[in-house]
Amino acid sequence: MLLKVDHVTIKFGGLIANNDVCFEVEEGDIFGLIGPNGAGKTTMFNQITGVYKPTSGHIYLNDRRIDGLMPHQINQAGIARTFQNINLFGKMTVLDNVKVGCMSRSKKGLLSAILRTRSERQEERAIIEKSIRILEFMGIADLKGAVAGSLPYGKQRLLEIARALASDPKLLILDEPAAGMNTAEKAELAKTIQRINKDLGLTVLLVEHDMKLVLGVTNKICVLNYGKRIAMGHPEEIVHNEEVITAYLGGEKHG
Amino acid sequence: MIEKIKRNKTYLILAVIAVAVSAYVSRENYSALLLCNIGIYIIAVSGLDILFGYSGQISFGNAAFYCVGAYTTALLSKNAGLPALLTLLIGALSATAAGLIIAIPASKLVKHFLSFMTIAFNNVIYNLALNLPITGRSYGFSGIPKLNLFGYVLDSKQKMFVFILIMVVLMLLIKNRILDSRTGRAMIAIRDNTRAAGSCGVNVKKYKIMAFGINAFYVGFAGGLYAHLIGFISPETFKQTTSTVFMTMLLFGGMSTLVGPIIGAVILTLVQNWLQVFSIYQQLVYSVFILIILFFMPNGVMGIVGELIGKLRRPMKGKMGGGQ
Repeated sequence: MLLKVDHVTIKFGGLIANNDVCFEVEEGDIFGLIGPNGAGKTTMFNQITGVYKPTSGHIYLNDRRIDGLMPHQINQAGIARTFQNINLFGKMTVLDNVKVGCMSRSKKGLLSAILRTRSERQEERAIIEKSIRILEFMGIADLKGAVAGSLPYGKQRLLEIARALASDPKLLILDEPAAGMNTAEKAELAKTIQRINKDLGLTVLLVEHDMKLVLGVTNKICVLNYGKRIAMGHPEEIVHNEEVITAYLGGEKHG
Repeated sequence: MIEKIKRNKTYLILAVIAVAVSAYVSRENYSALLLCNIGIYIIAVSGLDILFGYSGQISFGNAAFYCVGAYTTALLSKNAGLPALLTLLIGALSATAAGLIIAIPASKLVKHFLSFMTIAFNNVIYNLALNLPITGRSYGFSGIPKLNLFGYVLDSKQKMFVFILIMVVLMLLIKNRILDSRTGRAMIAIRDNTRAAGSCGVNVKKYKIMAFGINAFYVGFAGGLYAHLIGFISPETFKQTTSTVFMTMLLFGGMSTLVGPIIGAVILTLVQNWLQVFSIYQQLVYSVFILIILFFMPNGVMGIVGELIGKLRRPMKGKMGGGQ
């Protein structure tokens, strides 16, 4: 498997935000991590991406332990992410945003920049070409000279995904990408996610609120509630799972 | 691409004008000295710009690096008799070392915590300059030899100015190259959004420390030039007020630009010079400058220039029925 979350527990003071959570993401999956508000999705997300370190348990990417690494090390290891509340480099151009995304897969340092060596110029050219290819794939290449902060919301989301793709990740994690989108934009997003999965062969982990989107695009789902895993399986199993229905609809048993 | 060529052309024209004017002005010894000082300030303030303007870390203690660069260069060239270019380089590198040492704890701090730490660091270095026997203490350190380039002594202010001018061009070129590279992008990314930078694979701590090091190199190099230019240094020059002077120049000229530090250094040096008779009011004048920046020109002179250009361009674009 590509990603393995192995008995992960995290505590903040007395609060147990994730309690003994296990799940595995296979290569090629579009995997959904869902749950009601406060279920611990984002906390789990933040542990996978290096923002928090689990209190106990481990996280593996291709059998390599990644829990406790710094965010940039996680990116280098092959996990790229987007943010729930968009985090672009607002004053940079669209192209420059994606160029920053190439950080992990380029290596020229200070000295070669000062001397502007031939290999440094080659790398810079390659970075620009790659960034433009990615922008074309995401359908926003015509905006490459625009200032990122001035883009409409939907385009900013696409740019954030483009920037994440620039690090050639094995696993792309999207944190509530549909938040704030209208129906048309959501449909567009679903298509984009599927294209990333099929055309680029990327595994996608989707942390999402919007059930329609999740059920539409994922092939496997893990449901969290009160920090615990309450169900896991194919989308059709999940929609019929009583515990999941109870968690989403509130306390009463069987409606 | 075309935009870039256009920009470079504008810079070239401006540079030629600047050189012509300064060549004319520098016929007199005193104005040559003034121009030398401006050049030194341009280098120091450009360093601060890399740190504050591009990587988003503040330093109110840059006089410390100025101090380390100046004393190291002075000591080496007077006592060890090393060639000038080497002493300047070693001076700048010692300042860099100091910068890296301070950067390791500083990279964890932001905003006012970082301000205070750099101020404290400045005071530590100032007190070392004041109390270490090797520095000549409060009497200062005199008899620093004139710059000597492979046997050719820069014995006049005019010769010194030509040398400093070449160094300014070189340092600005290096600045441009750094910022236009992978390293520069990493620093700007940290400034714009630290969280996002980390998630994009930018080693935030490494580049924050690197920015401090580069800043210290620039300022230390400027300190070395200063020592050779004046031939005498004393702790007074390296008080925290000098750090504030650097910062005022940067803010007045305009951060995150190539030209801003030049404008800031030129204008504030000239103003400082005109007001020399009222030297006790110098701090007052700086305060007024800071207030002007805060209230009327938060992006400095370059900010105003940018706005004007924008205003001039927009109606033209409208007439051509275009724009983006």
